[in-house]
Amino acid sequence: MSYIIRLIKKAQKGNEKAFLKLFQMYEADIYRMAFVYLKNEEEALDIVQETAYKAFDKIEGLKEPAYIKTWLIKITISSSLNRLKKLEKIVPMQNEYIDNIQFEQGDHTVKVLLQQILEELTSDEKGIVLLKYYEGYTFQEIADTLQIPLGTVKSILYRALKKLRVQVEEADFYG
Amino acid sequence: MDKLKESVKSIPLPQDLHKRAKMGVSQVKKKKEETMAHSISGHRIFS
Repeated sequence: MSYIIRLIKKAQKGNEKAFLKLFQMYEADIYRMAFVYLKNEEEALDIVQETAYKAFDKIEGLKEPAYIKTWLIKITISSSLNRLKKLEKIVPMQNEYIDNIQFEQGDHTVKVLLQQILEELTSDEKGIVLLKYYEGYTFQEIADTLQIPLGTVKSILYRALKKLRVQVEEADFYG
Repeated sequence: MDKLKESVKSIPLPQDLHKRAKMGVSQVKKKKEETMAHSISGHRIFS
């Protein structure tokens, strides 16, 4: 972590190389998060570029370096949602993306599950599923990141998992 | 629940991913240079 803090301090002084080294640690996650929202490689890459732009522009004001990843994820989610709104105004999203993806893994259930995440979940549900199971956040961290009540996080996740037909453990939510 | 993580991880990464991050950073640099140039030329006009 101290290496990351050092990079942040350098980036805050305008050091591009330090910022890019830092960003590189998170760019795969940023891309995948954006892809889940936008379902399109080029749009997701635009969000990576936009996130890098906004983050480098504003990193000087980052008060808590320990929360760099959460901060980048917040930028990614908000940029993705804004882009989604703009795109939906222009033309309904196409569903041809999934067939064009060249999966590295051969697991069919993984592909089916991804297709369900992309197609069946709302933006709210996608965000919470990503933060919980991809990023490993706690319910409280999700609530803080998305600035919504804890109870809402739990109910949206419960609904999302039911849609995905994933085994829901009641104790996880209300225990 | 691991399947959920696995499914998101199965989204392949494009080759030019880091290049796009670099482009974002270059845009900031360009913006700052332009702002600097404007403030210098503005200073000249009023001085």
